Amino acid sequence: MLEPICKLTAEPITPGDISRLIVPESCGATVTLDGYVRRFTKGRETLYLVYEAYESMALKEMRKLAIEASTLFDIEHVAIAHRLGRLEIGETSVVISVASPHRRAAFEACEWLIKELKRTVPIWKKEVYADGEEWIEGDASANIA
Amino acid sequence: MRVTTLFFGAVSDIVGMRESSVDVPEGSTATDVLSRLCESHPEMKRKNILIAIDENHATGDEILAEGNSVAFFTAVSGG
Repeated sequence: MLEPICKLTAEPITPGDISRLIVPESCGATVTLDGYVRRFTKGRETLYLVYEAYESMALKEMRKLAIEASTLFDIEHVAIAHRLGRLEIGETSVVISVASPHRRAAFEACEWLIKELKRTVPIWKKEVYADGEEWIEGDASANIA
Repeated sequence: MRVTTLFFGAVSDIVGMRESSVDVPEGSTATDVLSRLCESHPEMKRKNILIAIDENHATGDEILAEGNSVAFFTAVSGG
């Protein structure tokens, strides 16, 4: 496993750029998740989102997840990028790229990584609607300590 | 002893700041610090607050040490 690439940025993220950061010669496939801002959630219209992070801890947690993924799946490289600040509808909020010798492990690891990121990495999303705003709380029942 | 307190997201809005520092008696836990915060900001009691100590997720039962950074936040919602 190569040292994972993890970043938080207030600048727009181009998924293809993140994906091409990890192309080891030993691999044959990279699976990339491009998570972006949805206009409607449970029937309510979002105007824009604001993401905030406990940045130093978030970077450590992202790296920990990538390392753990490499012990669970046959993968060789991971890049994770998460956007912070204000995001408009359709803008990329998170990119997770996983490179592996064969595609199946990369698909599985990518799904595992986004699920764990949403559970453990200290980043918060504020939804701003036409008639108000709210910080979204994740699944608090998850035991992460 | 003195510890740094950090607040994020909804918790930061409730307490009206992002960072502070507090004096706590020896043997205190992060949960003790949280109880004090709930007294001054009752709105906190309606939230399920999670804790991290020195950038690691914590249960809140750990005994704090001088200089610890104790973060309070609601369940994470990145992605």
